[in-house]
Amino acid sequence: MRVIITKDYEEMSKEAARIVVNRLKEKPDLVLGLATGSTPLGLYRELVRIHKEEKLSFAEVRTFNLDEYIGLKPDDPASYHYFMFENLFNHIDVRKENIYIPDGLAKDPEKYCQWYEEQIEKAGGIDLQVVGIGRDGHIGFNEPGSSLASRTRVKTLDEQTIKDNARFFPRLEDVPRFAITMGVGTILEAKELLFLASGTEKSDIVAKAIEGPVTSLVTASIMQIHPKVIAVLDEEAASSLQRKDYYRYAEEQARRFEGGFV
Amino acid sequence: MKVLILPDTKAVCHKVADLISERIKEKPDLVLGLSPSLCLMPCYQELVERYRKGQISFRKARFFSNDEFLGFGFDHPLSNAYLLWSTFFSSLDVTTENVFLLNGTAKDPVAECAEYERKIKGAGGIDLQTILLGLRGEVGRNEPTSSLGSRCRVKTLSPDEASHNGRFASRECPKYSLTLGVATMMEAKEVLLVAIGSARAMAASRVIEGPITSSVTGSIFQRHPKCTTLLDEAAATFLKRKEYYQSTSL
Repeated sequence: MRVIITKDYEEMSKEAARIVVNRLKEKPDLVLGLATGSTPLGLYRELVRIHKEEKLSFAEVRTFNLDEYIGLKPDDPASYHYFMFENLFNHIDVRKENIYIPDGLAKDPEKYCQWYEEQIEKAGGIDLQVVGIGRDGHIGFNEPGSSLASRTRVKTLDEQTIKDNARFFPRLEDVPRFAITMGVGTILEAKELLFLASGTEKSDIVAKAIEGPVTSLVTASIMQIHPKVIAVLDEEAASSLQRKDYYRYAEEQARRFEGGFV
Repeated sequence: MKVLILPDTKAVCHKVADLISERIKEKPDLVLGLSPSLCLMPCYQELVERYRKGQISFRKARFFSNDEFLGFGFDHPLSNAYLLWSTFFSSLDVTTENVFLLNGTAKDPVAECAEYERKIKGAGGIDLQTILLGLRGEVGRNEPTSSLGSRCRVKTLSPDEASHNGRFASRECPKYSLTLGVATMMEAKEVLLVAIGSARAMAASRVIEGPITSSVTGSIFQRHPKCTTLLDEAAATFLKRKEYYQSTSL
């Protein structure tokens, strides 16, 4: 895994944006996997800025989001649909028909999840998937104990996750108990992963995911078997890593050979 | 994973030589992945002995190497290529065209690595891969936290790793290596994972009995369908199931 440690949230977001923009320039019809939550907000802000100021186009980009709550309407401010449009899609030239976010109102969720997988496959697979990490180590909404080979499906949310996400809802009781999420196996099939984490409250779980055992109790740890992962962390999120010095050293050296270091 | 605990270095090297000889007899054009480590030289010397006695021929065998230091060409006395040629290939009846080594002085090292993967595929994959376990449980130059799905590539060596690499004076310590990836090695049909000496005892126990983690890249070999770990007594010190392995080694 390539680990880039940045000064703060701002730098993390800029570095992540730089990577997305590079891939987009190489492949204008990039298939981009997207995540929600507070971590990628800065990345999206930066992408919007680059779109506006540097005329970077998303017209051919196809996007797939990791997850969505069950039962929330797309215009519900707590839904991930709302989040994505509000924070990214409304401000760039991505085409609506190229946007895929799991439908939390699907009548037959099981069938819908299969359809979602098929759309990813039809797009040729995800080129670059942005992922964050939950405090319990989840990737997407793949809570501890999820199969490391799982596919897109309905998942019951963990108590910890519900509490962590309650700040986006009027009351704790309003947090949905279920979500549709890409599976761990689905995420692993992305050609490249861009893993973002920020803040001290994530530092322990980040260290477990990057340096600990591969285990379904920390589903993000499966990233260790992916051939191409770039982790962009801020100082705080990186603070519990044991090999911090090596990552810094390797990153300095790696600038000499683009792409060969994972 | 099959775990063989043998009395000493000599016995381990003898066993490695036995296994390589057996496979070459079964398949004369065997594709052999070699660990270019000084520690394994006694194994290769043993094979040279057997060749001299007329017990074995390497004429049809094909060879790949696990890694090379960037900037060190075939003619550099500290390169892995030089090590393998001077102590092994030059004393055998190998066919030169069948020896495939990473070129440490390739103009485009990234392309060299991609090409090396293609050569391995072209040979039908590696039949038998020898690996000397690193002090931190790494395989090839896949430093701790290397991706367990990595392919052949240029890898930055830890500064500490580079400095305790006995072959080099600090001035000429290599900073980078071209190395087979963890996934490349995992694709070998059979693997011999060797750990010798007390310095490797902790690494061996992590690899054989610890969790699968990129912090110990050798641990992924718990998932390999045909991997034999060969240890001397000193390297087996920390194994929890030592008695069990010894009972199955008989």
